[in-house]
Amino acid sequence: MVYTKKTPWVLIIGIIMCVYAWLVQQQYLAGVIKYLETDKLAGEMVTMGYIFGVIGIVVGLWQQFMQPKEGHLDYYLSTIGGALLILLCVFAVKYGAEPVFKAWGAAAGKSIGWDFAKTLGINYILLGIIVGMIVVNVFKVPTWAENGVRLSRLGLKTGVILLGALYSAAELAEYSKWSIGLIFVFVLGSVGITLFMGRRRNIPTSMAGVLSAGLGVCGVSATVASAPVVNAKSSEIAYSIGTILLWGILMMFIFPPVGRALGMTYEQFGAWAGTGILNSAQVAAAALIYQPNGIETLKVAEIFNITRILVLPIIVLWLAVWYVEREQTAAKVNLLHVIVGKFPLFVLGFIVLFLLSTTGMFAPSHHAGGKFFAGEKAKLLKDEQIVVLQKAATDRPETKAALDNLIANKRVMSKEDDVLLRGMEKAKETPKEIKAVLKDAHKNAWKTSPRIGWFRDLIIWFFAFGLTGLGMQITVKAITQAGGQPLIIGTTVGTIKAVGALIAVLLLKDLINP
Amino acid sequence: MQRILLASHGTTGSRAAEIVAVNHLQPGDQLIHLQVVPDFWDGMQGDDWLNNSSTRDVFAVYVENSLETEAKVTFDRVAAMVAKRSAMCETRLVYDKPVQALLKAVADVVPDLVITGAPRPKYAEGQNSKMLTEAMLRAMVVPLLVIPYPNV
Amino acid sequence: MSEQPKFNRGTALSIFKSDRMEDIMALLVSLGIVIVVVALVPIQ
Repeated sequence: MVYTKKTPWVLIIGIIMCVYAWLVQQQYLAGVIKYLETDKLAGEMVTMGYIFGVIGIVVGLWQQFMQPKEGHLDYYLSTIGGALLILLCVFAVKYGAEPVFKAWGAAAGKSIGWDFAKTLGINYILLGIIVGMIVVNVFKVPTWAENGVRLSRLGLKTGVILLGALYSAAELAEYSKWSIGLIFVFVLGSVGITLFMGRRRNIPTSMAGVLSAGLGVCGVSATVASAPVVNAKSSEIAYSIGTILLWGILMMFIFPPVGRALGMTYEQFGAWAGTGILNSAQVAAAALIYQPNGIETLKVAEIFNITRILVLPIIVLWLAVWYVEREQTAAKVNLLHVIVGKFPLFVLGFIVLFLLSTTGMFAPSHHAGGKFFAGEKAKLLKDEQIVVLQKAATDRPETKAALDNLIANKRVMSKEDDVLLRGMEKAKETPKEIKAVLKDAHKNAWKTSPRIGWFRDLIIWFFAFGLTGLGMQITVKAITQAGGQPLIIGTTVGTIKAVGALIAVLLLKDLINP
Repeated sequence: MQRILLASHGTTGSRAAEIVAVNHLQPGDQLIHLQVVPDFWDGMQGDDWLNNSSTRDVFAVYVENSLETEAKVTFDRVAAMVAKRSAMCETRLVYDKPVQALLKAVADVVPDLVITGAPRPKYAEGQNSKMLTEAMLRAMVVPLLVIPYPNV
Repeated sequence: MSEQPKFNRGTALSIFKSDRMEDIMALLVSLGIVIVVVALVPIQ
């Protein structure tokens, strides 16, 4: 079968992207860019616009004028259209919709005192997912784009692998210590509560099985993995998956505003999302909605996510054993088969990149050691900024010490100080003018290696691509199947998990800073 | 000889419809039994990128098989009742949107009568995929008999 | 019944035949990006 659909759209999208890049490059859009305050993104607009625009034009022309023959070339090139459609959505929300909402939010903040864009955290990741959901549920993904939408998982996986390059050994050790602890408690806790509630409410063993995997481990993938193992009936599967999808979507939209309202740090939010949200894709989405242009939240959240993925085969095995004990008809499971079959290979890539990064391949080895903190040529804070800082107060002694250090030296002196002061900068109770000074101090101290900067930007692009494409796979039809006992149990366990994780993370506030 | 199209998928409501449909049959009549696997199953294969495709394949095969087995139980039950009345029985299992599937089947077999169960009451459990929509009623070209939900 | 179209599965979420294949492609894409970034972008 020939997969290429003859459509002018690939060519048209290519031309739109190129023309846009050209307009930006020639300063024709300078007025718009200035109004939307997107001048920082202008360089990216030009590069990305030309790269993908040229791809679109070449592939579009090929599809128009060549007779594609059946084979690999046809198959893989047929994905370009959908990929470009997703990218066009990302362009539109990142360079258009987000800045527009920001401007509207600011205007609303002045007139009615409520900056809705800021409070609700409207940014391009959130808008991208929403646009994706609208495309699939209202308009339907066009047939020429269907193949490309299925590339979104590839984008997410690549993003996770590349993320491995951005951890320091200390961070990874610290995060994974907490993630293993929290995931262990919350996975076992929710599996336990589900099984307990299931017994109390007299639901079939198989339904308790799929539900506990779905609510405990990682949402739909766990349900899908365990359904055949516990011989679930089709209606049980429909109820459970519907419930889990519904919860996933709700959490993805609710977590970020709540986190913002509580003034959580990036690390705290990442840990909370990583523990409390059911579906792994929505963990990444929530983390990026919380912090769309930085990577700190995503880094923490993904560690939690990966921990959870690695737990999945164990839970499936455990469920199999649990089910075999209860039902005579159940088939025996092959232990090795389950572990090998369910092991996510791409996690190895994450580990390899982390190992490579510890060799100093992506950043100078003294990068984390303090060169930029105690360096001779470091930029100092101005005297009037120091005056502002002297008014700052904190009741945490170690933060106080870091602050005194900063006031005395006019610059951040160590990585530990930097982390503490960033926490203060993010805290809700810190006054605005002090926040601004702390931000400057951090900027002066911290210089990102260009390679790391590139990785960071690329990772965010991969995730933006993957999550927008993922939005295009969320169908309302499936969600409306939520119901029955699974909805009751799911709501209870989901709420307990989200609130419990929130409390745990807030209690661990002081511990989670590496 | 009349041809009756029965749309039922084994739920409490449609069992009532099955009985009425079978009671309608005279010897030599034909009952076409339609079961729809709703298209929402497409969206049930995950939105989650951590699914292994080996896992997903196992799952898809499993879901297909169990849907088919569950459908077969219903088919067999109805077929047994139909046989007792010396009528003929034909089965159709379709994967589609429920409304489309019903209208397609009607256009295909042109029955004298379509019999189906009423929607389930709010408290009852069941799939949330509707066949008795206004659009369907408008497009229906043969008489349609809706059997009330049984008091249980 | 067998002539009815079955669910479109397997490739509903991914263009690759198996997940292992997709994982391997993700690894290759990442490798490509690492090589390009290391080759083209200065370290400081």
